[in-house]
Amino acid sequence: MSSLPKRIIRETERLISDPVPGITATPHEENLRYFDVLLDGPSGSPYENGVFKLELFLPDDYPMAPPMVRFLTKIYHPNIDRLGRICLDVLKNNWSPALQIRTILLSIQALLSSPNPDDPLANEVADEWKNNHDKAIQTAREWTAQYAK
Amino acid sequence: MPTYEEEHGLNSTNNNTEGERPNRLTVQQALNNFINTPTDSRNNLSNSINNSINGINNVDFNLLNQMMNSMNTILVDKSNTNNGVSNEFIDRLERVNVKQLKNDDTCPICTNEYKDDSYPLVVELPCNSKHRFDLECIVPWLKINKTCPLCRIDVTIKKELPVLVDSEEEDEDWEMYG
Repeated sequence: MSSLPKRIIRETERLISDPVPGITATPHEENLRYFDVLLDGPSGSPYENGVFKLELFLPDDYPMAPPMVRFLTKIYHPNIDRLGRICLDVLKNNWSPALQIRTILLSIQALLSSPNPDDPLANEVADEWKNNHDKAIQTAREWTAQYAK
Repeated sequence: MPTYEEEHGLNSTNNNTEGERPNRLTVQQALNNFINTPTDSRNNLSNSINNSINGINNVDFNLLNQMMNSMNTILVDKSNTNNGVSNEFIDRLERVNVKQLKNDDTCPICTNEYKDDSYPLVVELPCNSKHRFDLECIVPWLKINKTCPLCRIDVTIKKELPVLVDSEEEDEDWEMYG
């Protein structure tokens, strides 16, 4: 493996020394491009009090290409599918090399606060979110209590 | 005398960026090869697949061909929309004089301080004179994208001079709501 770019080292140091509230990202010792992420469910959302596990990987062409991020904890959300894949513009077309790991994780946290059922990745969840909103919120709460511990 | 490119290691950058997204090119080439293969040899391929793999029978090559064609269309589409700027555009980027750089100014892409390098080569994009980057950092991005990393504006669109609003016109607009 080629040596780690300075930017990645610097980002990692800052994630540890000056962490974003409610977010921890820890690199694997044997692969410093692979991070274990713990993300607190935002207060006021059905994910409140949940701690969600994600994996984040910085591809070789990072920061020209976005990090790859996936939920490992089961979550009931219209923009996150059963495999934990996330539908979020900044992870795809709207990526910019001026964004960083911390800004991406903040965007994901914001996505939990404001789901977008009109651009769904999990169609059934999105339908429920639009047509039976109270029940969808209830399910999201139940899943959070059950899985996001 | 070494050329400008040699002095600034631009050749190596170019080589790297041309190898950007190798997978997409390879897949596309593979598709083209497949689509342009005469049907006969594809039938041979079909036979060999049938012979070597039990369970795959009667591979529908028309369907497969359709799928390959539509995949190719998608790939071509994608590579067109992802096209970056021309080399001429990069050559014409505004250079930032070192004297204008503060000691703690950093490149938003590599996050290094420009002045870490004793001869920093910094450019600004046409969208905003504050949108500055190491030339070395912005080139690989602009080779695959036409947008500024800081404001996402298409950098190839000529900057329009701010149009002064004619006071009479403004009055007319207000009348519409009045």
